[in-house]
Amino acid sequence: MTLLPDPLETSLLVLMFWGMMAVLGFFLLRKSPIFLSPLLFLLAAGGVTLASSGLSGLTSPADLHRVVPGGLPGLPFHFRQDPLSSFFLLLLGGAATGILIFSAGYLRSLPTPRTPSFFLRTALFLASMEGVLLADDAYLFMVFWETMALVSYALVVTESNREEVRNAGYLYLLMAHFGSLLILAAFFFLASREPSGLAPGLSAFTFEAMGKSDPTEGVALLIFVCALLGFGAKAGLIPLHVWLPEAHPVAPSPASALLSGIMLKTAVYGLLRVSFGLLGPDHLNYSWGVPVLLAGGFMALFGILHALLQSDPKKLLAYSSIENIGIIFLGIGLAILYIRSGHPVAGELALGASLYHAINHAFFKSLLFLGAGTMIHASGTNDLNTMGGLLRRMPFSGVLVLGGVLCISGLPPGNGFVSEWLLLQASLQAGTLSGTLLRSAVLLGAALLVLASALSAMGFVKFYGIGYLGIPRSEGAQKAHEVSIPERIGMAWLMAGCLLLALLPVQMLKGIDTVLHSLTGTSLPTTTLSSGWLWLLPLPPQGASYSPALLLGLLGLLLPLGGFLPRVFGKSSFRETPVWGCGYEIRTPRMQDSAGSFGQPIRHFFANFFLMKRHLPDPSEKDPVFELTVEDPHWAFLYRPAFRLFQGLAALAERVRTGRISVYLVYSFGTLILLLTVFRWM
Amino acid sequence: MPPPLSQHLLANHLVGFLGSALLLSSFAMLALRRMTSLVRIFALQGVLLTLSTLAVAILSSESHLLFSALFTLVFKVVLLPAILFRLLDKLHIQGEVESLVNVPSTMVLGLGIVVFSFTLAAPISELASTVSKGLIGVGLASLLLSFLMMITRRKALTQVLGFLGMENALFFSAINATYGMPMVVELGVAFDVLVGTFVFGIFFFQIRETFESLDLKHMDTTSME
Amino acid sequence: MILLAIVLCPLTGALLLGAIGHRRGAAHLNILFSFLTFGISLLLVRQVFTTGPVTGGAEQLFSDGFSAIFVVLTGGVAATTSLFSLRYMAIEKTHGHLTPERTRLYLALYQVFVLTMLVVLVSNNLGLLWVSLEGATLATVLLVAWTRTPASVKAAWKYFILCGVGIALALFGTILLYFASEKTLGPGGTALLWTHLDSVKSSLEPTVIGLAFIFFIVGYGTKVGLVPLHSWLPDAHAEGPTPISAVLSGLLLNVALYAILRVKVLADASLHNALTSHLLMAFGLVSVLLASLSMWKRQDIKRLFAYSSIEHMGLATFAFGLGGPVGAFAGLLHMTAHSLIKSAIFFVVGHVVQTSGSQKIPDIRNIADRTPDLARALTVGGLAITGLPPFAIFASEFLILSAAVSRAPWTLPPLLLALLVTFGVIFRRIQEMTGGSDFPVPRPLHQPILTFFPIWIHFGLALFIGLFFPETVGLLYHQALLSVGLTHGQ
Repeated sequence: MTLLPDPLETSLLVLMFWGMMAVLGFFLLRKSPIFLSPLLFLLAAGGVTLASSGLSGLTSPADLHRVVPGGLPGLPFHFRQDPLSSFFLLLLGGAATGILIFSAGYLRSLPTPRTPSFFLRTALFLASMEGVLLADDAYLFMVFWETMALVSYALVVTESNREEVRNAGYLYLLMAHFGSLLILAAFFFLASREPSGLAPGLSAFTFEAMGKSDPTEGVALLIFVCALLGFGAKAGLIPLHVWLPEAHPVAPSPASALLSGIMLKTAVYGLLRVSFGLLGPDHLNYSWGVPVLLAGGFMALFGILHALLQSDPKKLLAYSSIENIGIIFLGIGLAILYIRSGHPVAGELALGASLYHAINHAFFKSLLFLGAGTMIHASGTNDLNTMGGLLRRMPFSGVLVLGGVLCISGLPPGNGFVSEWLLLQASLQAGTLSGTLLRSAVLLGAALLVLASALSAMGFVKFYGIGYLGIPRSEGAQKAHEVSIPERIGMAWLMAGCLLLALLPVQMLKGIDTVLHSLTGTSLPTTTLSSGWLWLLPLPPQGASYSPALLLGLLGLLLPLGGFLPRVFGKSSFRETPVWGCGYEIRTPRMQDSAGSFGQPIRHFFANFFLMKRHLPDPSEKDPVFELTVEDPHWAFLYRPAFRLFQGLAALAERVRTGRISVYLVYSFGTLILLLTVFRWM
Repeated sequence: MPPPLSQHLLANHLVGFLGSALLLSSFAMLALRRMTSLVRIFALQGVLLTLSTLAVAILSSESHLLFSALFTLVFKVVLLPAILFRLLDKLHIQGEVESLVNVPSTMVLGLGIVVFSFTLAAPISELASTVSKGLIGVGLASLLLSFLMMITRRKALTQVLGFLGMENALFFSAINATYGMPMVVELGVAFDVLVGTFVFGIFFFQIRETFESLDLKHMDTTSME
Repeated sequence: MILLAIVLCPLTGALLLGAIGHRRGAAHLNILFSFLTFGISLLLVRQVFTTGPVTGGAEQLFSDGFSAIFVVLTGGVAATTSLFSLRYMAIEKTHGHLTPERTRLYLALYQVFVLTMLVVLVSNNLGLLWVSLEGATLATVLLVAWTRTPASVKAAWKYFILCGVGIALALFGTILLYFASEKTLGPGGTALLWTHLDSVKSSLEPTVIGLAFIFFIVGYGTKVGLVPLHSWLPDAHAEGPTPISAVLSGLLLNVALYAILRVKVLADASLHNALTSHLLMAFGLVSVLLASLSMWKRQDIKRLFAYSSIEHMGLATFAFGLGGPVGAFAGLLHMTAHSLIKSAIFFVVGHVVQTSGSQKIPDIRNIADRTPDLARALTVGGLAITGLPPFAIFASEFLILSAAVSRAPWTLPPLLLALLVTFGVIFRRIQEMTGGSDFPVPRPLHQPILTFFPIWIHFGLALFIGLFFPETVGLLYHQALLSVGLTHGQ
């Protein structure tokens, strides 16, 4: 017996703490905004506690349950913290801490009347996300899930006095609700096989009972599809992604970071929970992996291509989130395929890489969204074309953002490289699969992954190059100044997370392995886990290996050398001359590469992915302007037709409403006659 | 004491005759064009109802039906027609009733309804133990005919007449299927009908006030949204 | 005894207010009587659940657990609505829409309306039930036409004719029922008494009962607002004074469905097939689908929520059609939740319309800036009514859908689509109405606390039910359904 609370108790305490702080803070802040920073630090302390609870849940794996009174009769609230929950709690707590510390500095820029409600929403949002991870019955899960959707909607529309913000929020909430209904359907199908012996028969809705359900192949497929689409709507699965690039950018930056960095992962959690946890690996079919894998690959490519064309840094990041979620889905697809076709090691590796990428993305995407926030705040607009030269004015945050950019681009020794490399290693096991189609699907996925990864590097060169390098393109960028101390600490926290993830992959994989073990019952190879911290051997004995620490050391050695050698061996010392200015005397910001021009080759090569409208100016026009708008093709080919269909149906329904009493009486008369006829003669 | 056979036959003939007369009057209401004639037919229906209640009461020796008969006489032969005539007078309603569907088609529809009702009611009539069991079909038919009248006619007052016609048909069915409903229910129903008629009256004045006509086409255009 | 009391209380109120309703303070008297009725209904439910069903008034009155739940609901919502209407009418008065005569008419008819609904619920006699349901129509017809605008007169006329016809058909059903029960129970007063019918229900003649049920469902279904018999409902809700819309939607529809359910129990026992279940499911499904599609084009806020009532009554009907312990429980819970939430929404809408001066949605803008408290309440109401957790409607819809999946899985896709559409439309409209502008009104109008008292009571209860539905209440619900016999599935 120890007096220390177990991880689940700790997590529940944090949940209560966040929930109570939300209300308490709301009223305190209405009294005086002075409490803002302390309150946010308290929330952050909750985040640290949660992360440590998650960590201890991973290091000393345990399956903890609690039943709390409430809910429906026969279905009280069930909570559970197993390794899968623990992993995502670690992700949530870790990333949220940095974001919250950052907010303490950042929120001073928000108009004060909105601060209390923003605080309320943030705290509730965190609490509901945590609830999603801890819920252990369908009802409680949905309560938290929908609360999360609702509160995040409220976060998105924090600046609700703008029409476009409201529209983005609406689109988001509608899609979220669509997803929720599908998730509900998945739960119902999972529970329907359970005989309902008890009075209202609600105990079938605990995850425990659902986990024991034994659906037929068809029902299992139905459940899987519902879960994939339902959670996909939240994760930005194409074609359900259209809300993401609209909603994430309009939210205040810390909110975008929470949405993109953490909330999207709850969808990953949900999908894993339903498919591997409740449905169970035994009910999955290897062939389902192929569409998931390809969809993931396509998402990755599609997301990064669109990201490349954006000039709004937050929109760019939002599309990049689609890319990263695509990578995670690709891993899940691979895992299903491998595990169910008898290649558990490769499967575990793919699933582990997915999880790894999920936590990586949580850290670097949060960091980048916060960075984008500082960029926008500094330059006063949300257009990359008005930024530039920020690094010189914001050196500290600029360097941190550079770190994030390197990580997200999947360059070694960043943490993004680790997960993408592991995933690639798993894909390269395709040779062991039987069937050409399967093999080529996996390899196609791998190709898409590599392509997306390379393009992502290009995209973030654009992001960083246009934003931070060069000379300022606007007065705002000219006057930019370094961010406040809490903001720097918050970003540094996230960067530190990235570094840890980059440098200690083996330790991380050990934690992930407990998750994999609890989900599928098998583990990663023991050599991988016991190879010490220096070398990562994903597929011993003959697979490739990687040592981030050595690589970092090498880079640390080579980079100064790179600067040093020319000085030693160069013909002469450096000399400063005016920049070559195409023959012009003066160099202006307009001569620099712009966000639009950066994307031009992409637009050209991948024209099929975009719906472009060019307006070429006519010579006779008074004010000739070249205009180009790029649209997501899903609007034109899916959503607008669907909306027109709905409108058509609504118009049809309208014809019932003639407004004439005689006709209404005919309805009653007809109904009566019809029913009587049916009753008498059938 | 069950009545002797000859009496039973007579009863059937008499009640049957009254039933057919009621059905005929429903048809008449469907076909007639003049408002005053419609109200007269309604009064006639009241008389028929009273007679048939009386006949059933005497033949079945159910004494409470006598009260019902008396009540019908006062209520449906005297009171309601008087109110209606007063309304016609006060609101200066006279002349033709416009119909949405022409009379021959209405008649054909009506015939179809009668056939339908009788086939529908046939198995029920088998079960009835009352002296007038064949007449449930008649009741159902006149119920539906009155319904049809409400559909095809356009003036507010004709709809009310159709409504009251339905009530008559219901009363007729109750008498013939079960020798009337329990007293408390019957009183309640009558009370509702009375209040309903008053409400109709109030309405007529309100409609008249607001639309300066009792034609339902004004009532048809609900704000279209 | 207590049954007589619960009938006599609103009756006294009606007579008294009919006499002095135009005096000052009459509105307070209305509140007093409404709360008195509510108090008695609480006593009734306690008695019913501790000592079993109550009979009274020479066997004409009767209450078991099932009706007691509805009695409490009716009493409670009627009481809070009387509180709301005090404030609503005070504002109407300042707008000059009120004469003392009309106030008296309104107050008296309000009590009559409550009386008729309670009689429907506690009458043992199915004929009396019919009489008082018709009485409820008569009482509300005049209330709908109360503002005397052309639109309201039209709406009331439509209401009167359509419901009148419907209810006439239900009377034919009652006659058929009497006809069938007379065979076993003998002529005289007892053959329409529920307590007697219940004991012989399985020996009633199925052909007659089947026909009777069809007449009942078309008749009373008109009052429930089941598609395609619903045409009166949006007009009556939109044109009547808002407190009346609240009780029409929150209570009368429930009471009518209650009547159908009583008859369903008899029909089920006699028919030994799934006719009634299938009918209820079909009506429910069609109602849900048509109502959700019809919401898109609505420009009138009260009409929009009227269609939402059709949708929710459709869902409840569907749930009872599904039957089984979960389905019936969900249906009853849904009716409770809908009563609470929809009436509160009409309270909010009433004030929104009063402060905006129009009930056309395009004319209502910027509520968030003008009256932030109302905007908050409207948003919460919109979320609650569209079935977002943790409000009670989510709980009931959760259960309804789960029952649907286990009993009729093919109904799930249309139901989910309808729910999505409903959510999309209602939330969109609320967003349009509340949405602020770039230039907030400098001094937003705050309403007195009394305005929000009934609203937050209702929403609070709905929230409580959704989050912590008490085990004991759940047991009561279950017992009530079990004793009536609604838990039998198809």
